[in-house]
Amino acid sequence: MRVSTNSIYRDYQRNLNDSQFKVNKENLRISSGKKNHSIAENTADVVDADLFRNKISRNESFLNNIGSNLDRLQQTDTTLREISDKMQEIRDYVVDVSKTSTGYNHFAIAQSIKGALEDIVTLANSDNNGAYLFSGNMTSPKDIKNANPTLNNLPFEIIQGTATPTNPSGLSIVYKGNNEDINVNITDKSQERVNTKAEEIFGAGGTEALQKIIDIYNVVAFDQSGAQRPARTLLNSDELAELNTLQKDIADKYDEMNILAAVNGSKINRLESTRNFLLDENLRLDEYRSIKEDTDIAESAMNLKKEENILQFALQVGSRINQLNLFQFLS
Amino acid sequence: MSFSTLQIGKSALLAQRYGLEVVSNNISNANTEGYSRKRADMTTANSKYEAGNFVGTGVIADQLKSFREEFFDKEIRNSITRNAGYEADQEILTRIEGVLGEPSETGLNNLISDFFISWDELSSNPDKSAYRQKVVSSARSMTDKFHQLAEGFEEARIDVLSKLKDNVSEVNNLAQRIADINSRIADNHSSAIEGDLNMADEREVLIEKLAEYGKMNVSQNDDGTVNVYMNGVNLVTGKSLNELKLVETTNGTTNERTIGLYTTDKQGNVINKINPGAGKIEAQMKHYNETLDKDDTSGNFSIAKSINELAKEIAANVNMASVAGFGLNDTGAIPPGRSFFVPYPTDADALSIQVNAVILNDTDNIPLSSVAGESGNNQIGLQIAALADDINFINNRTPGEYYADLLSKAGNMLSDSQTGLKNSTMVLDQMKNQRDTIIGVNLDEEAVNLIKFQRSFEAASRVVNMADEVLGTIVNLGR
Repeated sequence: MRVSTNSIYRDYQRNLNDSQFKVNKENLRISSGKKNHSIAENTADVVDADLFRNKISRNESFLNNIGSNLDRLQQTDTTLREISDKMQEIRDYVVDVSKTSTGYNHFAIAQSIKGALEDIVTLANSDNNGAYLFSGNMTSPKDIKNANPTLNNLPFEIIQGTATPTNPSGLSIVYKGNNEDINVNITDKSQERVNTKAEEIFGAGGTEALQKIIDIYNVVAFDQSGAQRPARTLLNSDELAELNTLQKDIADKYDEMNILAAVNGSKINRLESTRNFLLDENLRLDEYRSIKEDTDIAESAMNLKKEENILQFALQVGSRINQLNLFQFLS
Repeated sequence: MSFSTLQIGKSALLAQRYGLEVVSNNISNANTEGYSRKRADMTTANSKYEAGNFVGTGVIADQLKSFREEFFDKEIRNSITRNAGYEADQEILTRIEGVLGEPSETGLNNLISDFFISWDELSSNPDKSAYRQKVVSSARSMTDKFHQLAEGFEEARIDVLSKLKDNVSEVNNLAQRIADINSRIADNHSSAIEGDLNMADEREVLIEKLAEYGKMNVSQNDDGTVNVYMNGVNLVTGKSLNELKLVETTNGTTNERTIGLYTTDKQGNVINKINPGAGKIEAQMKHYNETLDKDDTSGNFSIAKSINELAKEIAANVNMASVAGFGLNDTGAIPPGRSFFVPYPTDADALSIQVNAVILNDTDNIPLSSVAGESGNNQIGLQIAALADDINFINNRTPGEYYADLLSKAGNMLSDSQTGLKNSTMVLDQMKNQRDTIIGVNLDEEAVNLIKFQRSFEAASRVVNMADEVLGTIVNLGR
């Protein structure tokens, strides 16, 4: 078969181009750390790596959500326990007042009960990073409308009103938030409610339990005529019976509050286990992404060496093609 | 006797010199594209009857043989057409890849994902202005990328059109040159054989160039001219040609602009629509009319249309949720109907999608809440964040899956064109090598021929010298 000069150079040039292309490709892979530099190189891997990267970013955003809401739930847990302690304190006061053998300064005890109530209201107005904990989804001061008779933009407020026979202290509680849920996404398929609502803590209207504390205060601080109870005067049987009923209601609320704290604790556990799951999943996803996207340096270094050898020999062959010609030997 | 020896010597000198010229011409054209090697065919001159015997009268070298093979020419033309088609595909698809900016960590898919993630994060921190700002900034990054893609595809489309026009002009130019060569061959036919053969070589080169633009068929005429057809339609007929013209039409209903290729008469009037069959022009028309056409109605894959659809669906779905929402400072029971993206209610597309200026100017206006006056209400935010995982978002896919599909299609198209080009280049090189085994110049072979004709020329010179000496002896006999 005849071999033309053109065909020798044509084959040589094609092979040289191929070889240079392969050397360049391995160089790129090693220098960039990325396996694919074109969507055409391995389309499936490029697309998979993209989807893995998005999934990792998404999980990171869920991890951020979990992080900020864990803080909220932990603060809720602390606050609920403090409110619960205050409830227990009020119960203890009631027990002390109910002891008929000892004379007490009931009005002074009543002031302690009122103080505990004020503490509970202060705790109920707690916020996490500027967002109220127990006011439903009305979490900002600007959501809380301050209108007569209220004086502030806090969700819970003790109002000093006019004394009446049934409410000799004239105290009442106003709740200005709502009872809506706040849900956040913690994975792409699940949400978690991260707020504890006023109605759950304090009963109907978000104030029932607080109103009962005021009732206790009224019974302890005032006699049946509505006058301030003198020191060392005992409560009569009707008053004791009423106090006992109120004490039971508070005890029930105390138990419910402990259950609420437990539910809140279980949410914390759930968020923590979801966080661990997401961290594990991201580790796995990052490994998959790396397999699809990152250069296997050892493999590429070997390939580069191989391709460089081929290129070197190809160049040597090229210089020989030029020499091997009859004209070189003709004088 | 001696005079006839001189004549024989002269014919040998002329023949060997002719041989040397043909060899020299072969050597000088060793690298000329499309050149087919020539050989001086020598035949013995007619014998004469002298003194009772037939005596030879020398050599005649007036036949020039070309080794051109029509079979290989035809196969090579077909390979060139395929090759050029893949080349054009690859060029346009690589440009599309460049516009997409993939593979990268800042491609559209990542930006869309970041956009929905920002809603998720805002839902978890509904009253934090930093997260509101993040929603706006991720939305702007996404819309900027949509604009960049739409503009990039449109620019690529304009470039394709410009190249198409250049290519059609080149086809007309090549066809004209082929017709001119046909004309010269027809005029000189049978009088200048070598000229004929060289012009045929030149014409074949032109036809091979023409084959880059469409599927070419060639038929030979008796007068040495050829007819050239593009996918069965006459382009060159002997000395005359039908010029091609691109005509752009706009669909009145869809506003879709498509381009078609037509033959024209001498006055430039459009005659017939033709399909190039394969090659550069067909590939470029396909990408102009489909891949890069945002209004494409062919049903085939169009990257520009797909990106438009994605932008439209994102805007429509986000807006549907956002118009029912309230910003931080909104009041009343009826939502202000604030769309997150504009234009609204007109459909947005990749070029027109923008974040609503009311939201850009004040992020408190982001409609996150389903009820006015509830800063912690994130219902609208959760609805929008959930769109990222909505399997019915677009074509029964999530936005991420839809983009991944689109990327796969573009990637596979580019990969197919690269593989096709690699294979067709190899086939083309093999066909050219096979043709070169017959028509190509081998310098070693020509060097041998050079020596052969040089030595024969020297020998013929000696014959003339010897005849001269014999004649001299005869002339000096009487002195």
